[in-house]
Amino acid sequence: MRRPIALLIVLALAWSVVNIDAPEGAPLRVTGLALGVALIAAYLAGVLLERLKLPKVTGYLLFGLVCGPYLLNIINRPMARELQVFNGLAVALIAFIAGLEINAARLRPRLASIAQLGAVVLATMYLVLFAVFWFAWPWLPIEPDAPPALRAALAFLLTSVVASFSPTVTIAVVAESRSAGTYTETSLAIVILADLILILMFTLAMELVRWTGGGSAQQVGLLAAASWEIIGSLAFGAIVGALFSFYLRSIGREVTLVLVGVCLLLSIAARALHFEPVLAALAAGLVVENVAPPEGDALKRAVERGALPVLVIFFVAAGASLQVDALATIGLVALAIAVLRGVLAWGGAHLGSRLSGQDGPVSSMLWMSLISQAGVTLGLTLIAAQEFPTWGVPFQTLMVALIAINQLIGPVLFRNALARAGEIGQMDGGAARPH
Amino acid sequence: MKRQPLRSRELGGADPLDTQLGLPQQSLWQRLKLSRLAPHLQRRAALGLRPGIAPAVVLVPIGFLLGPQVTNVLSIEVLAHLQVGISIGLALLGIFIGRALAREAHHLRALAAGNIESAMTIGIVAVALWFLITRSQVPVGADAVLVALCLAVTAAASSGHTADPRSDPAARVATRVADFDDLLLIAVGALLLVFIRGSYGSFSPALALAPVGIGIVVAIAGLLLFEHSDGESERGLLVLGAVALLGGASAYLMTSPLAAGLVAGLIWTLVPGRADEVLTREAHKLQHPLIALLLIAAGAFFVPHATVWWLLVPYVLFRLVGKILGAVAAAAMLPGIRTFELAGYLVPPGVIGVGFSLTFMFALPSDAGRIVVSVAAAGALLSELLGMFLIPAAPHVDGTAPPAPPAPAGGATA
Amino acid sequence: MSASPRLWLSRETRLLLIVITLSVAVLVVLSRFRFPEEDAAASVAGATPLPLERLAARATYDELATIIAELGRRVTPSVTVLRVESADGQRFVPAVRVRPDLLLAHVRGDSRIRELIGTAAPVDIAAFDEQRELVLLRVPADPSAVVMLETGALSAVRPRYVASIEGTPGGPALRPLFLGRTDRVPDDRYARGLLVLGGVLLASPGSLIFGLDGSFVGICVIDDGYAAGVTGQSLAAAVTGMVGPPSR
Repeated sequence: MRRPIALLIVLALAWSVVNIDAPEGAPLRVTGLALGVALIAAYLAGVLLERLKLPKVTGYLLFGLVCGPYLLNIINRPMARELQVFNGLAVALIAFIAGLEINAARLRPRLASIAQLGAVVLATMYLVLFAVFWFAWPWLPIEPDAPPALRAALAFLLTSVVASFSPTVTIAVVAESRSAGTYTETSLAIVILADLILILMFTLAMELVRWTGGGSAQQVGLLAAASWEIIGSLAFGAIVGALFSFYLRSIGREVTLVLVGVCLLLSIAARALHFEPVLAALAAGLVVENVAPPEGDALKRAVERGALPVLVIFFVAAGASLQVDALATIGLVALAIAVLRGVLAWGGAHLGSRLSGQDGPVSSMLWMSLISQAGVTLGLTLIAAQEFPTWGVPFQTLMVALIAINQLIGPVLFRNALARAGEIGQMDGGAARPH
Repeated sequence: MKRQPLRSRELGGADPLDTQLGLPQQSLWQRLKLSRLAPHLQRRAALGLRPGIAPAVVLVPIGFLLGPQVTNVLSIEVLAHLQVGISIGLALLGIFIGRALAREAHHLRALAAGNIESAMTIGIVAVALWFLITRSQVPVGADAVLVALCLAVTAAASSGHTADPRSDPAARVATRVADFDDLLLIAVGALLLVFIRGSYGSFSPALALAPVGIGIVVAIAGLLLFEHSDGESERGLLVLGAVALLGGASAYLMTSPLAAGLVAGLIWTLVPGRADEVLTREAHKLQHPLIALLLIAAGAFFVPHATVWWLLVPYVLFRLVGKILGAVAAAAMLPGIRTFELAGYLVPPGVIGVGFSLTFMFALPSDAGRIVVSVAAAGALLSELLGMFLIPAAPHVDGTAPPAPPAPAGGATA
Repeated sequence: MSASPRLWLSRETRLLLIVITLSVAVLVVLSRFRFPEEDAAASVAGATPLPLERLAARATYDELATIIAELGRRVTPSVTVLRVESADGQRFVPAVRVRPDLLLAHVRGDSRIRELIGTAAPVDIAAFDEQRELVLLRVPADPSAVVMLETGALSAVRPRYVASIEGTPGGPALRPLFLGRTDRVPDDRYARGLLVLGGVLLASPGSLIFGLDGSFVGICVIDDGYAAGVTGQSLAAAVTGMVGPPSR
C-alpha cells in the first residue's frame, strides 16, 4: 500500500507544480521535473504491473504512453522531448553493459553456429519480405506507380528497414531483467550481427534508390561509408575502451565521473564523427572486459546496478514518444506487416536452429527476441524520409506505426522468453562464474 | 558507530566506485617517477601550511576552457540544458546540509555562531558591493541592491573541507560552524529568489513557501519508499528520483533547490527509521559527478568582462574581511578554537556559494546573472587558493599520516 | 591486475597498446576513403554540430513563443523606442542602453529624433557618428538596465534562432528570427567587419538582435541591399570612439 500512496503523492506533486502560478519560461525548466516523475512514478508503475505478471519494462513503456502527450499529457510534449535528450547517454551505457557481458573466450566455441543461425534468419526475412513487398507494392501507400527499377529499389529499402531489430531494446531488457545464459547470449549475438548487416544493407538500398530514382549517387563510396560506420565505430570504441582500461589501471580515481564521460564520448562524439554509437560502446565494453579486465566484478556490477535509472528513462521516453496517431492512419497495413515480420522471424529462427544444430530455448523462442524495433529503425526511416520527401512521408508514417506495434509487443515477448528460459536474474548468480 | 566527518557534506570522501574497485597500489606520480615531488609538499605542511587542491581550483578553469568563451564545447545552448543537473546537484547539497543540521543541531552555540558569522559576511559584502556599484555606476545589468545581495549570499558560504576534522579538534569546531552558517544563507537566498521574481514579473507571495512544500512532499514520498525498497539498484533509482523531483520542481517554480533539499534532508534525518541511512549511501554515489557539474558549469558561464574584474577583487577582499570579523564574533562563543584559526578554516568557500550563483543566474536578467556567476566562480577559486595558505596545519592526533578517506557507506550515522 | 613496478610492460598493457595502435591505424586508413577530398577532422567539424550540441534538444514552434516571452522579460527594460522623422516619414527605432546614462541607436543621418517613447526624458544627443549612422542619447542614469555589448556569444557558422527587437509606437516588440547563416564580411567602418544576417532582408534597419539566452548579438543595418549586423564588440569600440571609455 505504501507504493501506490507514494505514486499518488509524486503524481500529485507534479500536477500541482505544473498547474501552479508558474513563472514565465517555466516550460523551459521542465527537465528535472520530468526526470523525477519518470524515475519514481514509472518505476512504481512497473513494479505494480509486475504483480499482474507483466514485465516491468512494459510498465515503463505503458507509463510513458499513458502519461505522455498523446493521452493524459502529464508528461507533456516538452517533457517528452527533454527525456529524449538522455537517450544518447542511455544507448551508450546500455551497449557498454552488453560489451562488458560478452566474454569472447566463452562465446568462441559457439560462434560459428551462431553466425550460421543469424545468416539463415536474416536471409529468410530479407528474401521473403522483398518478394512480398515487390508483389504487394501497388497496395502499399508508398509511391505505388513507381517504375520497376525504382520499385525494386524501394522494396529493398523497405525490406532492410522492416527487417531491422533493436539491439538497444534487447540489451535493455537483458540488463533490466539481469538475465544471463545461452539463450540471452545467442539472442544478443544475433541482434548485434543483424545490426551490422542492416547498416550495410541500408546503405546499399539507399544507393540503389538514388541511382534508380535518377538522382546522383553520393560522392563518398558505398563501401567506404559502410566501412567507416561499422569498422570505424568498432575501432573508435576500442580506443575509448582501451583508454578507459588504462585509466582504471593507472589512476583509478573518480571512476564514476570518468565513466559518465566515457558514455558521453561514446554517444555524442561518436555521432559527430559519423560512427554508430551502439557499435562503438559495445566495442568499448568488449575491450574493457576481454583485453584487460579489472580485478573482480566490481566495475561490471556497479555499472549494471547504476543502469536501472537509465533504463527506466529510456523506456519511458520511448513510450512517451510513441506516435499512436500514426497507428490510427495506417494501422491496418502496419499490423499486417508486423504479423508477417513476426511469422518470418519465427520461421527463420526455427529453420536456422535446425540447420545450425541449436536446440532448447534458442530453437523455440529465438524469434521472441527479434520482434522489438526502436531507435535504429526510426533513425534510418528519418534519413530516408528526409532525403526523399516525395514518398518519404508515407514511408515514415508506415514505419512509425510498425515501430509503435513492435515496441509495445517486442519487450513483453522477449522478457517472457527470458523467464521461460529460466535466465532472469542469472546475471547476479553469475558473479562467481569463471571467465 | 563511526562518525562521518561533516565535511562529507560536499565531497564525501572517495568515490564509492573507486573504493569498490580498489585504488592502484602505486600512484601515477610514482609510476611516472615523479614521487620526489612529495617531500616538497610535505615540507610546506611542516612550515604550517597544508597544501590541498580544492575541486573549484581544478574544475572552474576546466569549465572556462570548455565554455563559450574559449572552445565552445559547452555552448550556451548546451549549458541551458545542464540546468537540470545543476538543480539536482543543488538539491543534493541541500539534503546533506539538512542532514548535518539535524545531526548537530544540539550544538546550539555553534549554530548561533555559524549564523552570526554568515550574517556578518552577508552584511559586509552586500553593503560594500552596493556602495561600489552605485558609486562607480558600473553596469551590472540589474538593480544594484539585488546584485550586491546575490553576491553577498554567494560569498557567505564556507566549507572547511581542506581541513581534516578527524585529526584536529579546532578543525572539527570550524567545520561545524561552516556547516551551520549555510542555514541563514539558504533562507536569505530562497527569499532573494522570490524577490528577484517579483522584480521582473508577476509572482505569488505564497511561492516563498514553495521550497518547504516541495521538501515536505518529497520527503514523505521518500519515507514511504526508501525503507522498503528491494536491492541496491532500486534504492539508487528511488533516491535519484527523489533528488531529481526536489531539484526539478524547484527549478520549474524558480525557487531554491537548496532550501527544498534542506527541508527534505532534515525530515529524513529526524524521522525515525532507515530512510536517512539509505539516502546517504545512495546519494553519495551521485555526489562527485554533480559537484563536478556545478563547478564546470560555473566556469563555463564565466565572462571575462571588465565589470567582473572590477567586482572580483572587492568581492574576495570584503569576503575575507567578513569572515575575519565573523570569526571574531563567533570564536568568542565557542570554546576550543582561536579566532585566527576559525577565520582560516572559514576562508575556503566550497561549492555552495557557486551553486547559489547558478540559481541566481537563471532568475536574474541575462547580463546580471552572468556577472553574478562569474564573480562568484572566480571569487571561489581565489578564496580556495587563499584557503590553501591560510588554513593552519593540523597536528595529527597520533603523529602519523592523515587517515585514509572514510568508507562511503553506512558510516554516516552519528 | 598486476601491481608490479613493471606494469607498463605487463601483458594486459601490451595488449591495450596493440588495440589502440591497430584501431588508430584502421581509422586513419578508413578516413582516407571516407573523406577522400578533405581533411577528415575538418570535414567532420564542418558537417556536424559541435560535439555536445546534440544534447541540446531543439525547440518547437510553440515553445519558441515561450522563449521569446521570457527573453522579452529580460531584455526590454534595457530598450527604449525612439520616434524618428525623416524625408520618408515617421519611423520607430529601438535604442539600447549601453552605459548607465547613454542609449545607442542606428539612425540615418537625415533623420530627426523627436521623442523617447514611454519616458519623459528630453531628446539629448550626446554624440553622432555620421559614418556609421550611430547615435548616442543622454538619458537619466540607470545602471541596472545596461546591456553589455561584448558578452554576446557570436557563432558565425551555425544556423540558429535569435530575437529581433523592433520599435513600435507602443514600445519594443520582439519576434524570432532564423539566421540560416551569418557570414562575416569586411567593412571599412568596423575593424571586425559586418555579419551578413541570413542573406535576405529579415530584420528592419536599426533593429536590435539578441540571442535566445539574452546576450546582445548586434544591431541590424542595411548594407548594399542585404541585412547585416554590427556586432557587440564593434559597437562597443564605436561607442568608446564617440564618447571615450566608460568612467569608473
